[in-house]
Amino acid sequence: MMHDHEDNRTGRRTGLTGQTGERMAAPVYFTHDECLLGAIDAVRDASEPAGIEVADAGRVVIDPAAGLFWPENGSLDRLAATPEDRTRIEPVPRTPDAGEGRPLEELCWYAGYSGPDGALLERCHPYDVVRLVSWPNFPRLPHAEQMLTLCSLLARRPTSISFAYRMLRMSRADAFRFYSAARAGGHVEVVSSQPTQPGVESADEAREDRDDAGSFWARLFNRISGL
Amino acid sequence: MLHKILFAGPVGAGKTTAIASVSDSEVVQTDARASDEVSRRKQQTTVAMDYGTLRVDTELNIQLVGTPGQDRFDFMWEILAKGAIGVVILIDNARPDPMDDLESYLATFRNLLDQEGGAGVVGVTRMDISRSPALSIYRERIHRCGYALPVFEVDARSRKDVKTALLALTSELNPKAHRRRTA
Repeated sequence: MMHDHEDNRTGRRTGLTGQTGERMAAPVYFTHDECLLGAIDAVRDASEPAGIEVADAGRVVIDPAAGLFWPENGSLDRLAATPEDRTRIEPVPRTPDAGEGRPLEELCWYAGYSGPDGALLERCHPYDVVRLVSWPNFPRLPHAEQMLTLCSLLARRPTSISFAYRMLRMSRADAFRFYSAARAGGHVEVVSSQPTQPGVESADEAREDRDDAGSFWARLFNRISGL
Repeated sequence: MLHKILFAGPVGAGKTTAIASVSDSEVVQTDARASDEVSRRKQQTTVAMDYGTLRVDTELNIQLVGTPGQDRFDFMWEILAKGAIGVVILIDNARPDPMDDLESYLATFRNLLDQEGGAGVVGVTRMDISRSPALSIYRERIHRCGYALPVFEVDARSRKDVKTALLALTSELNPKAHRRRTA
């Protein structure tokens, strides 16, 4: 259980305390409608190809049946961060050449990635136990490099996001951004949804290998990262 | 200390180009004028191996070794795979049967992929020329072959793309990603 902790000396509320004793600020959530996912959902519900346009940000055409999208102009980053109420959706009579379309999962990744720092997409929770079902196409997507190591972990064994980012020593913000984007793009499967901390997670594994900066893998990763 | 990462794949998939895009040293190429059907694709082709290096620090170098792509040099593939820690399999999406190429290379490097401490990444090149098969098809075929490898769209000329593939390979090799089961 997460407890809202009151400091006995000052009486101030000091945030949430998990059973491992770690004090964690409650996550902020953003909804599908607060990013392009809202508009994408509307197009999917209609099941017909449509164009989504945002003034000063560009336009994309989506074919939900084919699972493809075509960016026509503008910036995908800005488009992806646009709330539904600022988009204009219009059916299109014909989609562009399928050979030039990109997988719709990539646009969904962009949208899930666009949330505020430290925020989680709705229906995602920090203690969800998650499994990777497919690797995102990282060379074509915004990402932080440690997200690749997170993918390797989640591909091998379902792990809670909260545990994973502590074990891998990556920032909580990056881990949450990854989870939001990967969930939006269909790259992860929730094995167990945990809106609250379910119990004591092993703090020992998260603390092991704290000082691995000199390890072969860390040195190799850092070298390649510097390319 | 030297470790080896292999770049494998059919003729013209971009192995030599990919190594050159990230190597610290000038790539040593053992190529010759193509004389067979390869000559319709390119003038030069690798006949033994390509060799580049990544200097990690004063104590650690990584050899980047590219295999020859032509089938008649396939006896080299197993030799070159000895001692490798991982393999980047580049598949040319514009070839007649990329799925056949993929399965062939997964079978060829099965020992490397299955060994403890081994790993692989699949990079699909020339998707700007042919978008089909899609990456989702590659994932399904890799899964059917019993693996769950990272699959990316890679432009072999792009240092950024090749870097991302190598970061994924390193991530796959990182023991931290192989989380121990708790008691």
